[in-house]
Amino acid sequence: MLEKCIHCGECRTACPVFEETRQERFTARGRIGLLEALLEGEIEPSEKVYGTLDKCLLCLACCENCGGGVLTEEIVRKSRAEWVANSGLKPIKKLVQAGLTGGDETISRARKLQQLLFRKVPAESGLRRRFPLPLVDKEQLVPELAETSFRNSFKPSPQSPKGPESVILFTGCLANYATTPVAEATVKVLEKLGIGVEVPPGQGCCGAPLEIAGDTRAAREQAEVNVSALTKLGSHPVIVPCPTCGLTIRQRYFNLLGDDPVFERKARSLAERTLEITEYLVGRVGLDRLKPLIAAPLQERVTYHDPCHLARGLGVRDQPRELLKVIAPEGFVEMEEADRCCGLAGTFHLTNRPISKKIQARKTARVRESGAGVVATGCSACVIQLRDGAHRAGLKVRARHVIELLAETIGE
Amino acid sequence: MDRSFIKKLRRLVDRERCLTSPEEVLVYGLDAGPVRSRPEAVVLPETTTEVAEILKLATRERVPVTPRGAGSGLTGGAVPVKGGLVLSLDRMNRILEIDSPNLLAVVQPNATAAELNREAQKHGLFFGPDPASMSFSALGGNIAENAGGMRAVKYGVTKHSVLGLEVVLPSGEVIRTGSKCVKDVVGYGLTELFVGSEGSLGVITEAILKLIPRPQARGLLAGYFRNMDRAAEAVPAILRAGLAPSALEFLDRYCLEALRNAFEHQPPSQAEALLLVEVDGRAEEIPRKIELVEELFREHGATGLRTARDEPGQEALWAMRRSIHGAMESISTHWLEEDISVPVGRIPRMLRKLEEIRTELDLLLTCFGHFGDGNIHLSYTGPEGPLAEDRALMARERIFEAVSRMEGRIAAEHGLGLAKADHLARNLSPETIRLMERLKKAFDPLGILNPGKPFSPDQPTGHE
Repeated sequence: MLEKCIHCGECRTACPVFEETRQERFTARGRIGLLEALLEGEIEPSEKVYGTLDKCLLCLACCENCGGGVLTEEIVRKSRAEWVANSGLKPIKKLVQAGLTGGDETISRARKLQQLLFRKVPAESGLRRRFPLPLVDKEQLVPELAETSFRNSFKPSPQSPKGPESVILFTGCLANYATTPVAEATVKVLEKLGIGVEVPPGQGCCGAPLEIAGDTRAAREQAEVNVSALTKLGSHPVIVPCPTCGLTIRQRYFNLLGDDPVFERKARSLAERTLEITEYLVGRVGLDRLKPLIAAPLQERVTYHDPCHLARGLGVRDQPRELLKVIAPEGFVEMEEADRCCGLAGTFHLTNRPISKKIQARKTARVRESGAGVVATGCSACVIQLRDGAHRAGLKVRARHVIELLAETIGE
Repeated sequence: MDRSFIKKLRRLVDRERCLTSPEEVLVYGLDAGPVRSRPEAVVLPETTTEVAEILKLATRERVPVTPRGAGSGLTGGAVPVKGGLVLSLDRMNRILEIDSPNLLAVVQPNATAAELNREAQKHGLFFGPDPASMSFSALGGNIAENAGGMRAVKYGVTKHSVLGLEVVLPSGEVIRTGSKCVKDVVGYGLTELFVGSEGSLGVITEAILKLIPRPQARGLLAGYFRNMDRAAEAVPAILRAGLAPSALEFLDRYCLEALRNAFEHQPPSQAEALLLVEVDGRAEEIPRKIELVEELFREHGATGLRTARDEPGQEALWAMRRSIHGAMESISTHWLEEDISVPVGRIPRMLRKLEEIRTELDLLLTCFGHFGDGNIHLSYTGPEGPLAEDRALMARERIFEAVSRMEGRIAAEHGLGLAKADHLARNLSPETIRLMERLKKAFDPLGILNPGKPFSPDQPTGHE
């Protein structure tokens, strides 16, 4: 895969990390050049090599931009996997992994810790630290872990039909443990449309953070758990409010499970019926069925930030915008660099804070320039970053998942 | 380079802008061409003063310095073949000023032409030179290589757009050349010496660039021709018609074959050549210019015509032209490339000569490019795989021989770099070369700036 790169340097214009560091090793060409040298024995595997692979948002911008179609994002992920196989995961990533795969018990303990270390500030949507902590400065807004996870509290509404049109909801960790309103909004919208929602209990973390960090073994475990849980209930569409979960299920599961023909087949068929929520609403349900449900269109101007995994990963760009134009008929505005990464990028914002903050600041500036009062997006992690970014810049803008906005505008 | 040099360097710029570990410096050893060579250190200055201090230090310590724009060149201009220090201009990448009343812009070297155009557009202006790499190549690099582009046929190459420069000489002295004025004959014309000097005479730290009013409208025509010879004759005819085309591009029969085998853009089956002609100007001029081109096309045997009057249509046609490299990659990944030019009236003869060479040596050979200014990009390889070294050398000899017989030049816009020193005699007499070497010595007596290019006898020919 490395040979396709002709080292032209076109990727320099696409990479947000290069933009902030202005150091050539932080471009697709640079990362590939380093790997080539590694393979040829010109350099030794070192922390700096790892650091170059680590300081990558995996935002897919270089892949989209490359005239030669080089898939650097895949190259970086695979290299990380090689690294982890040889040297193990870094501590922060190990912690995140433990948290995500530890189940409800672990999260409940984490919540208690969070209550101790963070406090709620009434005017803000998020928690702030009580005293100095590593990785979190005093401005940082952190999403509050819910007292009861979404899946543990979910009950389909009594009016929810069990008709032929029903879907399976894969919540993902953020919507399950922290940004529960996103899962609730998804269910509300679907039920109002007369679509039944099943939430299979056996689902867990999709495994994306593990796969991305290079822990292929742990990611494969999650793939197996979820493929089993999601293929038990027949072949209804599987709806995801999180594009990273969607990308992982659609494009990575059948590879992770490639060593097991039965699971691989199940994973491929699961991939074919997994849809991101706006994809499903616009493509399968249709705007005509949604429009009559809108009781109170949004009066504010709203703009949209394209999550990397939704726009470039899944190719979904138009659908959220079409929904927003229905939600806010007078007030949709495009912002500049709408599809430039917000800078959160999973654990990147923990392991590479200064760069993450700079990328965040640029995104916040674009939001400000758009003149919108609401910035919508299709990813809960982006919401966290956009909200924190606006807060730091003193910008009075609400950050919301598109599905939350839709639920807001649909009557009770 | 010893440790004391690095220490002194670190006192001039802060530690993070002075890179020494192999992992950090490695990428600065390559460009978009085939040669690589690792530097010992990389420094990223932010101001002209820093550049001057760095060069002063390098002169004192006799350390070779290779300036670097975006490292997107094809001929090794940015490759540090003698090791030493790479001076990356990546932290000097701002557009300092768009001076609309005076139709000019002042820029730092690593801003890109695309960025300049975005800013200039807001004032109804644009920057003429449009090399294919314009979205990512550095303006400083464009200047150092005298880059061309598709619009050179009307708007000239980079040298025609440079009004003045700020340059740091190898000694660390800072000079300014030219001015903001269009006419300026005060002293020797130093600006033009630096343009195209491939970073061997000084480091450009600022440039005053000419901006042009943006044309109101454009029209683009694509003509498919059944006979490549006749299509080639259309080129001088179009130039002589007084149309001032803003682009005149050509794809030969082998390019069209490559496109047929590769992509969505499907040329008609019997087409032997494709000509793309762009005209621009005030809105009311365009229809008449388009008519004239269509007439000329038909006179020269065009069988298929497509006219695009709006942007999406034009973009689709340009996409086809741009996809030629990708299409060729699918035939072979071992193309050798040349970038030559001949006086514009000799394009048809040159094409015929290249066809002769092709059959005699049994090569795959495609020609395309900015035929409007006599510039042919040609790619060649063996029919079954890469050419053996002796055959490749022979092909090159024959091509360059044909070029010089027609009073053409062996390097049109990609620079000499590392690739063509041994062929200089085809274009430059010994006296001329000696004068150029004396000039180089006058600017860089110790030979520390971008050593090894463009004409030094002891150049490496391969990977280091």
